[in-house]
Formats: sequence, structure tokens, C-alpha cells
Amino acid sequence: MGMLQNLAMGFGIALTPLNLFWIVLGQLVGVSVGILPGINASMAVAILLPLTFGMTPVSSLLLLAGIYMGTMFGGSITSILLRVPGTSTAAVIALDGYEMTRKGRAGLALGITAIGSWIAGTFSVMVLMSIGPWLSSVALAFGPPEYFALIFLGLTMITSLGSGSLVKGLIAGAFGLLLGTIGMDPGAGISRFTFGILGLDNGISFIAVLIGMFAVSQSLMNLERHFSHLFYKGKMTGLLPNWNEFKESFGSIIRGSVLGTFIGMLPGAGATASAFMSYSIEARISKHPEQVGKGDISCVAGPGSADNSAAGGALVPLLSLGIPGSETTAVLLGALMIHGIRPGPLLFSQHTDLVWALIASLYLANCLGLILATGGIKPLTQILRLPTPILSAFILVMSVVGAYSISNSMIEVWTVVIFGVIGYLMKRLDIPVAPVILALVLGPMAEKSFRQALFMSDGSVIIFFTRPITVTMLILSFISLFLPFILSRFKPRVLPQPKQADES
Amino acid sequence: MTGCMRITMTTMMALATVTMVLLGIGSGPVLAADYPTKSIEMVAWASPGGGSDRMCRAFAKAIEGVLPQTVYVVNKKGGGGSVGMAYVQSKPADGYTLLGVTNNLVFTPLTKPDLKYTAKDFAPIIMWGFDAKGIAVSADGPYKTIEDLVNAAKQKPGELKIGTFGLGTDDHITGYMLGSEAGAKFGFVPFDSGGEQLAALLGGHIAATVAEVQEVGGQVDAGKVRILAVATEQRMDGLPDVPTMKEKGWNVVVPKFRGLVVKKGTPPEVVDYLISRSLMAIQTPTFKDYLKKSMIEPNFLVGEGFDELIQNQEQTFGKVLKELGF
Repeated sequence: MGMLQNLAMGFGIALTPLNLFWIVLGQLVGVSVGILPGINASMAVAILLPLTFGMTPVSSLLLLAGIYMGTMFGGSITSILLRVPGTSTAAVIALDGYEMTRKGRAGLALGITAIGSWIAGTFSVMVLMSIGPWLSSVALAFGPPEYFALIFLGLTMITSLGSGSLVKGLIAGAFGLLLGTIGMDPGAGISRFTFGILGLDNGISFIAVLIGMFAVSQSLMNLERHFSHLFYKGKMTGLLPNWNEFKESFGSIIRGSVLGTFIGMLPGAGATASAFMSYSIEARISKHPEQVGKGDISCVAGPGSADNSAAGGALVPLLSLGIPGSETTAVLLGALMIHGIRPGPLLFSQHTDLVWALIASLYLANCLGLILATGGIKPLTQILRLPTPILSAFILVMSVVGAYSISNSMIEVWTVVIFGVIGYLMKRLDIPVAPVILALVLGPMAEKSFRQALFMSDGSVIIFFTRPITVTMLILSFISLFLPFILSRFKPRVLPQPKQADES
Repeated sequence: MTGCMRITMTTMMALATVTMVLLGIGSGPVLAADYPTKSIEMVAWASPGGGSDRMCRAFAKAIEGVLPQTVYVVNKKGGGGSVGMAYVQSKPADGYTLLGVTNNLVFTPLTKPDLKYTAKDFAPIIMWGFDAKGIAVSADGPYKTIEDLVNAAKQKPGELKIGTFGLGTDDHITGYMLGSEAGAKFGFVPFDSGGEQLAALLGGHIAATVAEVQEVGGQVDAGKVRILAVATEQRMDGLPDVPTMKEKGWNVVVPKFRGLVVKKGTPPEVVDYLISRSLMAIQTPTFKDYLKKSMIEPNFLVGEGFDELIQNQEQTFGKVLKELGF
């Protein structure tokens, strides 16, 4: 078996003390970076890239891969504990993860994310080395019309994120879509709704909106409540999931892993989209729909796994085709080029040692992540023991500093402030946040691919009905859109749940 | 830490001054003591890790070695470089804010008429090279030569789709100029990144793509992608068998220049000093290595020579962009 031999060689290279040191260092840097809001994996990798110029290509790639994987987990820590999204990919975990924290189940939320990440990472690495090249040719079959159909399918899921009120869910979704139209028009290259603010040309900063809507709005809520019951003061229970909890989330982890690997592979989609789509799926098929948005473990486990497997998935087209599947892998591609390696289909045969060392290191980084996480959960949750006013002030400071660091400009800071207020008002009006975010991630992608498809067909919409993958997904979208209505006609109506006393 | 740094800086400055006096380099119109007396900011208009960011970091490192001060890179991303341009314009014209540029310096103001600044508001220091654009097709497709592609487009006007990086960009102009020079009509599909263009090409969703030659090198080696023609003056060293469009009789030369500018109004002696130091910086082995590995064609122009190229591009491409409706 050539593959196993290669893999053994890869582990041989990755496990030399020096290389192992780089992986561990990368992992630690990645986790810290992930915790800081505003700094994404791609920024961390890019900033540290110049430091690797003097290293061998293998060592530098291992360090960068460690950072990449570490960030994915680091971002979920603050999302769960403080509702501060460390990275955009981890933001969706904050929705139910933070609610779990409020119920004293922070350890469990972190634990299931760590385990899910590990399973997902392992899954995507296995896919990468076994059927990666084949899958990447499948990914190539996705042209603009297919992207549009896929993303449209994702958008139809908004109807399941309404947390009770379909109308409110749709209002929130439409608001998100509107926000997504700010910036450069993808078809004509002209600025829209930017009011002459240059910094808005690339669209409103997604991570800044997230920080505002999650972290700042939460702090405002706390102010209102005179700091009375923000964080859970009781005993933290369940650091690791018990067998039942694990069984309950196992399906979500597997669905998240598969979805993440595939969506991560598509150069136009990415980890954030996959995490949000995983959340919508879990929300839709959840066995306890009344729990969604209020601390449902599947809604943490699914997206927590999807973002990690998307990180591995993004490497599939990078290694087999030389095409980066995400922003971070685009930076890794730059790193390869700096070291004089031409990424392309010949990478596997020309730089066998490098590729397999990278695959082995991804796997090691994954296992290290699990060890770090399980060891770190208990001390991490201690942060909740801080007095609430201090913690709230700390969150606000982190939010503003993080916002500024996105592109070293005040625009993101203002975005955070404005969306903090909007998020607060939405909470008061009981309008869900999740549809806004989902629409803001997927809307611009949908518009772009829709316009590209029309460019391909000279403006004829027939293009969406002549391509088998597109048609299949559009049919699925309509089923997804109307099935809940049809089903509800045949089902006895579920009594509305009594509102919880601690309503947010 | 800062105290320590300051001491080192002063020592370094003193050393550098002594060295320069000894070597006689400091005998220009400006004394090393006048400029630079504090650290210099180099603005990259890309996010960390982007091509322009890597370029700025490589150059900052190189020029730092021949300056008595530190040079640090700041990312001001957005709006096709306009955010970075506006930031540099908001700073005094004293040579302490450098801007690493590509030909977006020309294209962005041309396509955004409400922008307050154009290339004319900047004083060119140095161009160190350019990226070559080429027309790439899938190797197993029907087009073996650039004539095949052009003839196919002539038979089905507008039906052949070429992928470009955005619209109103140098990619778009390259494809459009090929069409208008050769008398064929192409359709264009804009993408957000070179990677997406390549994926669409390999997946057969577009007939051809305008690509930076360096980006598809790996594909060409593997026999997946064929470059039919390049938009350079001369054939490239790395691709001796690929014709230029110019030699086919089509005047399509679109070099994506890379270099350094400062705000207009910077004192001439500071500009001269920066030019002389930049010339030293680009000769350092690390910078040469960066150019080679990034597959940037080395090509040096300083001061007025660089200015001429910029004005030339403004005129030529401004006209084409008008035709395209920008």
C-alpha cells in the first residue's frame, strides 16, 4: 500500500522533535489567536508567514498548519463562554453554546465541540488522503449555477431559524440580505450603499457585525439587568459528555463533518458557510425544536465539527489541484510559493514528503487539539467566576480592540457599536439573530454566483434548469421551503411552549 | 523593551551615518540626519497574506537593511486599493508613509470617478517588476493556439466566455483588448479570486481565463492548463514557446506593475534618497529571491521613468475603460 507507506513517512517527518515543536507552537498560537475576536486564521497565518522564511519548507508548513487548526478550536472557546465570537467560523456556536453556558453546561459545550472537532478533523484528513483527488474533480463540477443552487438551498433554511415566529425569522433574514448588498456590486463593479465610505467597498465587515450582535448586545443586556444573573454561578457540571449526550450529538457531528468537508472544498464557499449551514440543518431536524437557540447540544456539535472539517476540506483542492479552497489556504499557497514550490496537480508526486508530512501534521494537530481542549476546559471555565462587571468591561474592550484589528480602521469599530445596539433592540423585540447572520453570509455568495451564471448564459435563466446538479438542488430547496407547511397540515399542532422565566 | 530598541536604533543610526560618511554615500543633497529620523510606515493595501501584502513585507525587510530606521507594514485593505491610497493622502508628504502599489493605482481611480485621488497625487519612487498576464485554457480543450480561440469567438460572437478577476480590472481589459484588436467578441464572467477562475476553467464552466502566469505555473507543469498567449512586450523567459499577443499583430500589452510611491509633494531630496535606497534594497539577495519565487518579472524603473509608465497606462487603459462603460 503506497498510501500507508507515504503516511508512515509523513508521520516520520512530522514526529521529529523539531517539527513536533513547530506543530505544538502553531497550535498554541492558533488557539490564542482564535480567542481574540477580529483576528482570523488567515490573518494569523499571514502575519507569521515572514517568520517562516528562514525555516525549511516542511517546518514552516507544519507551523502554519498548526496555527490553522488551532484557530478553529480557539474561536469556539470565547463563543461558548462569553458569547464573543473569536472567529467568524465559530460565531454560530455562540448561539446555542452560550445558552448552554448560562445553564451551567459550559464544560459540556466545550467538550462536545472539542470531540466533534477531533472527529471532524480526522474525517476530513482521511477523506483528503483517500479520495481527495477524486473529490476535487467533483468539486470542479460546481460552476456558478451550482453554487447558486447550493447557497439558495442554504438560504431556504432561514425558515427553520425563526424560533417560533416565522414572520420574525423572515424579517431578520431579509435584513441580513439587505446588509449583504452593501459594497461592491459583483456584476458591475460599482459601489452600492456605501455612502462614499471607502472601507465599505468590500462589504460590511462580517466579523464586526458578529462581534456587535453577539458580544456587545449581550453586554448591553447585562447592564439592563444590573449584573444580576449574567453568568452561571452554580457548580459547573459535566466537563465531558456522558454516553447519552455523546450518542445524541454523534449524528450531528457526522453530518457536520461530511457537510464541512464538502463545502470547505468548494473554492467559493468556505468554513463559515459550512458552519452556518450545519446549524440550520441541525435546527431543522432537531428532536427538541423548542430547545433550538436555547442550548441545544446538537446545534453546538454540528457546526463545531463542520468548521474543522472544512479546514481539512479546503486543503483538498489546494493539494490535488493547486487551487485554494479558502482564504487561509490561499495564504498557505503563498507560503508554498515563497519556498519555491509551485502548487499544482504535481504537488503529490513532486513533493511527496512535504504533502504527507502536512497531512500527518494536520492529524497530529487535531489530536493535540483534543488533548489541549480536554485539559484546558476546567481552567477555562474558571473565567466565568470573575465578577460580572469586570467580565463585561473586559468583553467590551476585547470587542472594540478586536474590531479595530480587523483592518486597522475605525469603520469596523463603528460597525461593532451600531450592531451592538441593533442586536440589543432585536433581543428586546424577540427577533432572532441567527437568520440575519445566515443571510449575511450566504446572501452575497448567492448574488455573486447568480450574476456569474447569468453572465455565462447571456442573461437567460434557462441555465438554472438545464444542469442536473443545479436542478436537483433547486428541487431540494423548494421541498425544504414548503415541507414544514405541508407537514404541519397533517400533524396535530404542538402546543406552544410556556415561555421561560429567564427570557432573553 | 522599547528602551532597549531605542538604544539599538540610535546605535544603528550612528553606525549607519558613520558608515555612509566613510563610504561617501551620504554626500547627497540630504544628510542622513534629516531623513529618516523616525520609523517609516509602509502601507499594504491588501489583507495580510495577499500578493500585495507579501510584496510589501519583502520590500520593507529589504529596505530596512539599508535605512537607519525600522520600516513596518500596515494593512489598509479595501476598495481596490482606494482605502490605502486615501490613508497615505491623509498623512503629511514627508516620506514617512510609503505605499506599495500595483497597477490598481491606475485602474481604481479610473473606474471610481467619485474617488478624490488619482495616480497623479502620488510621487513614484521605484517599480521593481511586473506580473505577466496570459490567456489560459484547459489543456484537453479544443483550443490549441490563440488563433483557435479567436476564430471560435468570431464564429459565435459573445458566446465564448472568458473568466476575469472582477470587471473593469486589468484582467477584463486584457480580454477585451484581445477581442477588439483581433476583431472577435468575447463574453466575460467576473470572479473574486484567481483560484475561483482556475476552478471554473478546469471544470469547463468557462472557455478561457485571463490569468497571472505565476498563478497557473503548477497547472501548466502538470499539463492541465495551456497558456495560449501572454500580454507582455516580449516572450517570457520561463515560457519561451508561448507567443505574445503583440507578435500576432494585436497590441495587447498589460503589465501589472509592482512598485513603491509616496504622496505627491514629498521634498525632492527625500524622494531622491528613497530612490537611491530602494535601488540598493532591490539588489539584496532576499528581495531578488522574493521576485524570483513570486515569479515577478524583474524590471526596474525609478522616478520619472516610472511616472511615464503610469501616465501611459492611464491614457491607454482610460480610453479602453470608457469603451467598456466605466
